[in-house]
Amino acid sequence: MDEFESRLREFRPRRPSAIPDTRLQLLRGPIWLATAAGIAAVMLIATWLRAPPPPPAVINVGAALTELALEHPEKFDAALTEISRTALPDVTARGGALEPLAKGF
Amino acid sequence: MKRVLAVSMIVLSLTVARADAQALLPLPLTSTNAALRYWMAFAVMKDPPGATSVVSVELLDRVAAGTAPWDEAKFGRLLDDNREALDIMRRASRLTTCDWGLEYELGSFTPIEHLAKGRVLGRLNALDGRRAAVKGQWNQAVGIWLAGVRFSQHLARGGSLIAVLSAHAVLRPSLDALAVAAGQKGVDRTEMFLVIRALPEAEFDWDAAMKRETESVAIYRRDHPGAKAEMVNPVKVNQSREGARAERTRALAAMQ
Repeated sequence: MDEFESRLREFRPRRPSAIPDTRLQLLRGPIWLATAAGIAAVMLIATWLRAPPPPPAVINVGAALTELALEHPEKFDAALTEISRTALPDVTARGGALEPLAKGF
Repeated sequence: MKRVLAVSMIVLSLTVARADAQALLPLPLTSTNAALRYWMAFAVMKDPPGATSVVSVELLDRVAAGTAPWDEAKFGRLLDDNREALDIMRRASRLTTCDWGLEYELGSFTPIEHLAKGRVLGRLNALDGRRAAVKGQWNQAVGIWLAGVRFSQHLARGGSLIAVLSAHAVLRPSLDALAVAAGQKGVDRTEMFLVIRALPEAEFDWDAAMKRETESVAIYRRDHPGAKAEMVNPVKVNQSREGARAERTRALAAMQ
């Protein structure tokens, strides 16, 4: 019995060697590369989706109106008339949103 | 009884004395900046109906110019509704200072709402002059149109090209109407001649306006690199300037 136990103690655990599959070994590199590329693509899309939209083009209203005044005075006149209606609106105007508040004013 | 009477007399005399003292208090110093008065006028102004209305802007202009007949039912109410605004504007037009407090540092984005309001009030003023003329009150009409001339000068004050062009639109109807009024019997031409002669040769300071226009474009280019920012067509500006010069010359000739 002792002899048997001492015989067993001679055994040591050992890591099994890799399966000798050469095709799998060849694929290992490309798989990692594809995974990394996939993750990068997902991150890029996520960043692009979260990025704020480009600012709207700035319209130079002053310059546009000046040009209108020089080239088409009648249209410029109409533009001024429209701007006047929206600037300092008459709070007592009939049907206006502020009419009820302006009662007795 | 005597006591009550005495107390009453004392209280009464004190009250009267206090009222007198209040009446004698000097008035606070008033602002001499016409622009502030004009804003008050704009605040009480009631804009004419929109383009779809029977009383269109074009019709108002034609009536003011005397090329369309006056209709009291159509236009009288409009002017009566704006009486306060017109009176404020006319009083303010006699002041010498007019500072709109424009934010030049904003360049082309300097707010121009005062020009829009001014254009509408100027149109109403010209129309009011026509109303007086139709009634045969030519001297009163002349006074109204002269206020329009002075107002146009104030409107352009300190502004860029757009201010001068807006003010020119306010001036033109009044100037044309004055030229016609000068030919009416019994109209005193002295004041109108002096007022028009005092205007710059091309009615406004176009050079100063162009200088501000150039500055505006420079500010815009600085703040928006890469954006399209072109100067206005100088040929067109010169045409407008020469047109204004000719208008003034014609008006003065009619008043001599």
